[in-house]
Amino acid sequence: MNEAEGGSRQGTGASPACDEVREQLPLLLARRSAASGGPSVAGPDAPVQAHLDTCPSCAEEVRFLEQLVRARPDPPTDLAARVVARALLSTSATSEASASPGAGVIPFRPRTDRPSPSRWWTSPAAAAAVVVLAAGLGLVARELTTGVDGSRTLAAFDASSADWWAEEWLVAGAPYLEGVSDETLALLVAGIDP
Amino acid sequence: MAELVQRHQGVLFRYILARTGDEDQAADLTQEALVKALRALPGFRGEASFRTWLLAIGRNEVLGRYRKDGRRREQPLDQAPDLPDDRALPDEGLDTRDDVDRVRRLMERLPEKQRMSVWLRLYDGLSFREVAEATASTEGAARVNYFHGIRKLREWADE
Repeated sequence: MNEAEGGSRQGTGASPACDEVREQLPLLLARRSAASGGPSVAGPDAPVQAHLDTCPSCAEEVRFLEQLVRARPDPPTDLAARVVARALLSTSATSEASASPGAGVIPFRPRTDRPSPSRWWTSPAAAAAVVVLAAGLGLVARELTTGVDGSRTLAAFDASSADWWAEEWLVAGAPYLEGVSDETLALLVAGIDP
Repeated sequence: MAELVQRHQGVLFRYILARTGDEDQAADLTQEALVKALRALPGFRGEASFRTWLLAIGRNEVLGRYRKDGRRREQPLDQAPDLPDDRALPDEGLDTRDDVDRVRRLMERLPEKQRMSVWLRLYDGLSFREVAEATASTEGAARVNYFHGIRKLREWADE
């Protein structure tokens, strides 16, 4: 099979045999890619490979397509984890999510800019971290006592106390988010967000 | 669930990226589309292939974003997205990275449907029928778009 065997199709200037092969080349490359971890694509390679062995023009086409394949954009490496995390979280909050399309997207930071101060709020991981930190702050704040002169002092706190974790204010955490500035919360999150 | 997402996230991400030209936006919309797909999975009846069903969800996400933004943001031809620093590349040195950047800029010059046809066929091995469904065109048009796209890329690469 070679380019002199017949007329052209699809304007490639190659013979029907070459055109048929070139139509299959992406699948051949996808199967090669699958062999090294890419998307799985089924199909026989032998006839295509036999043509490539005897057709320099199509072999050159493969080399060009391989160049294009090397530029394939891939999703962020943590995309799947974010999706699964959101799907699991949303099973307990389906009604809220369906009422507000797009709510709860774990955003991807612009790679060239600083993260938007408002976007981290939508990350469940960051929100959870804030709750934990806020609870910790609340723990400290709770131990602040007022002295006889009206000054605030930090009382001793026994973390090994058996019932501190079960108190409602600590489990909820939310009250201690109130009154904390966005800047402070952003700094807290920045300190733990990888 | 994780395996399903892992298997199909690439084609969906590339499809959305081919339409939006913005990697961060594409990642966000891909995430949203995949979550919606997982929720809707019990209703999937197999009338279309899973990939084209997923891409249809992705298309709706893109259209929804366009509606939300009020207008469609076109990507200037001379402002193709830079290659992200955290993106894995074959370990073949600086020349390979330059080549990748160059190819991506050439891709950005393609009309949208040609770019989508080339990406879906070449990068993800979709059949022309699947490409046609994903690009709202006929199978013949998908085939022509693919070959015209490849021919243009080749001409530009040889300039």
